[in-house]
Amino acid sequence: MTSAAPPPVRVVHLSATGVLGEYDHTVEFGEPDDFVIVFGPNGVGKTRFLEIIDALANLRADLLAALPFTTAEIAFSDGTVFAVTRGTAVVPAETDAHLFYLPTDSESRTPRNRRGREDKAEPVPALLFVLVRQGEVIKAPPIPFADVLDRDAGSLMSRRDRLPPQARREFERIIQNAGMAEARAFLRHFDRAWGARHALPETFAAFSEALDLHLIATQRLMAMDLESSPSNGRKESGSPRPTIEQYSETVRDRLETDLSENSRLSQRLDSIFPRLMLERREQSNMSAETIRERLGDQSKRRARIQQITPLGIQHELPLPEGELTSAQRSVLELYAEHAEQKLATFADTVEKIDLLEKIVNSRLYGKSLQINAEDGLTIARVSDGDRIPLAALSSGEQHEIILMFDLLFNVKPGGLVLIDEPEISLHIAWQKRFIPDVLTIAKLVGFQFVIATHSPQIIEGNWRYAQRLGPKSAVFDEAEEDA
Amino acid sequence: MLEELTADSVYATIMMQEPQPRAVLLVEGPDDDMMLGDHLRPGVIGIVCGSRGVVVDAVVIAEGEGRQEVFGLIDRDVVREVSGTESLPGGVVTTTNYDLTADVAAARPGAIRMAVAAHAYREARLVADARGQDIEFAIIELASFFAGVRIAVQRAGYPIRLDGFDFSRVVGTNLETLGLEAFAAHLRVTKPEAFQWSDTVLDELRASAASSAGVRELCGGHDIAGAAYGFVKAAGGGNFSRSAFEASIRVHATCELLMIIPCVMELHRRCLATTGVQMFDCIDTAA
Repeated sequence: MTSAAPPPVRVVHLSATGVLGEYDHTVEFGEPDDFVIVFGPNGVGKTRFLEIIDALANLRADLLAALPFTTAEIAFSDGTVFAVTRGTAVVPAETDAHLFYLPTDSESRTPRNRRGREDKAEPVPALLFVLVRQGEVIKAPPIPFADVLDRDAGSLMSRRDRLPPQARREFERIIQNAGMAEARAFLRHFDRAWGARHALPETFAAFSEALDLHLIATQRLMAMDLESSPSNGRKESGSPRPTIEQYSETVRDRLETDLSENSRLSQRLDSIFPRLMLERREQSNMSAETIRERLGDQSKRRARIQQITPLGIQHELPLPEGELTSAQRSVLELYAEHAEQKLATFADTVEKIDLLEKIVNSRLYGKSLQINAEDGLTIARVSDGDRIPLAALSSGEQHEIILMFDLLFNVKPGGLVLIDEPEISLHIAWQKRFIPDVLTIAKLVGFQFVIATHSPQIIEGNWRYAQRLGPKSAVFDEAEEDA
Repeated sequence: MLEELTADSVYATIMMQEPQPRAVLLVEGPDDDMMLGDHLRPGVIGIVCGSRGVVVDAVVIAEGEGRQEVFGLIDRDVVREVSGTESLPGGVVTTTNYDLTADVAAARPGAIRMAVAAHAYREARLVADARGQDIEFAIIELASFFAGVRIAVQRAGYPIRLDGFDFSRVVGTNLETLGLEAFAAHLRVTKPEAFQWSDTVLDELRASAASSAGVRELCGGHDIAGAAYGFVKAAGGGNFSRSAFEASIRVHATCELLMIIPCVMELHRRCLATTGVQMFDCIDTAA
């Protein structure tokens, strides 16, 4: 197995050709810019472009087989290029026979028969993945469209019709002798085997894993509840739920995880504290004043964490008045070191929660967002403190919270975020603040982003970062208008 | 909505136009758009920017980006009187009078008289008879006096609010214009703790008002409408809408009239010279 590739340095170029059958789109990240705004007329495939790039980065062959484009490419600052082409390829019949051979009385597996099948093989539409890295060109085996399009879609009979002849005969036998349930089970088994055959080489999977690309689509207020979904995360089951409610659970889970980690670390550090103390004896490198300052700072951070999640410990460590002895300093220094490690388990989450509350609360009118481990996200009316159900917020408020939450908590450092039409439902005053807010979050998390928009207020002062998608000849034709 | 617009968002709007316009005219407010918008040639678009500063700054951005097809029309205001000279980008043209409504009124003598008569015929006659002068001159006299006050207030930076001034408070029972003290008594001081009326201030305002009396180009459309309202109300009129009065003046903004307004012709000339495009569709009529 190939080890996971190191994360690409930086995305410098995104492109897709033949989008909607006629448009070629390119997005360039200027040095050292970490964001690009794309705009253009309706119907040139801005959203499709983002979907294509997202599908490529996340190896969604099923989507790539269905999306209207010819080639797509992601290029990185270290020269790495990851690309896919919707082309044609001859799929080896040998492999086909091996995988789908279902023995019947009238058939045999002689070499002569296999040769006959190879002779008939014709090019079929297929996805052709290429990874160029460090001068090496790695080509993945072609993936026929028919193999990756959603095979669960359609009626039982239409799925039967897509089966190869031998498999279809077997299906007919099962449906006659064993019934519908068995026939469905056969289809599921068959589809899994068929899909597995075209799994991409591990190099590609590892590369995709290292490249965190996140699409925030226009439909973001409702999302499939994946709690009961299959382990592969595909949106095949579950029911739609307000995204904001799911995010409320996400933050609760995250705080619970942090708390568990904190407990584990605390137990470990507490267990080794006596031994470390004995080894240190009265050794101390910090002055009493530094120790007091450090403990004071930790106390403040701990108090903030206590507001969010119950730590179940006393905030303040009462220190003796006056000068500290060498022994006291030694104990307190080690205590402070351990406390720092324990607090660090919450640092990332608390920093993000603080920023989310700051951004959202500066927008909300007469309402306040608070986040804690018990309730997740809560919105209260400022006038009387009454809690407002999350799903009862206006669509603009939900969009704002969801967008900011998504960027803070669902994007990994070094990732690339594609945001489609963030202006939806947002007042223009909020639109004008959108990019500055995202830049603040991007600085904290460390990601690049692309925004597709129709709103001048989203672009506002960032028009230098705006790139137009679409045909270049869209200049007003005076003669035509006059006519 | 208009107050949310910035030069950046206006420039982004231009950048995002589909298809790309051959020329762009930026104006301050919807009133300007009402008068000019319908006369823009196909391929030329008008954008309301909300303020003078946004128009100027958006043209500066456009010119900085090499887009010479973006032009702006801004109100003359009383900038020159308050600040001396004003530096503007090449694509920006100012109105000849205080604003475009005032330009239209100036280009069509009698437009103000007709507008007052249309909305308050009886009161217009009363004022004219009482003062022994054409109501249009009476209105300009009062509005220009107020313009002088405005110039002095702005020049000194006094915390006095001038918009929405009730002109009926400075028209006497015999429909005569009252003195400066009457104006001072009804001007709203926004920071009373930082300002007090004094003889010096009154003299300053009086001198400025005297020097601007009758100077038509200093009178804005709103001031003309305010003065008209003041006379009509003082003459016993009840329902007089300033906005309807201004609209009655703006209806004179026909092709024939626009083509004799200097700022409109200047825009047309600059646009043609820079882009080869005729900005207004009135050129044939004018020819």
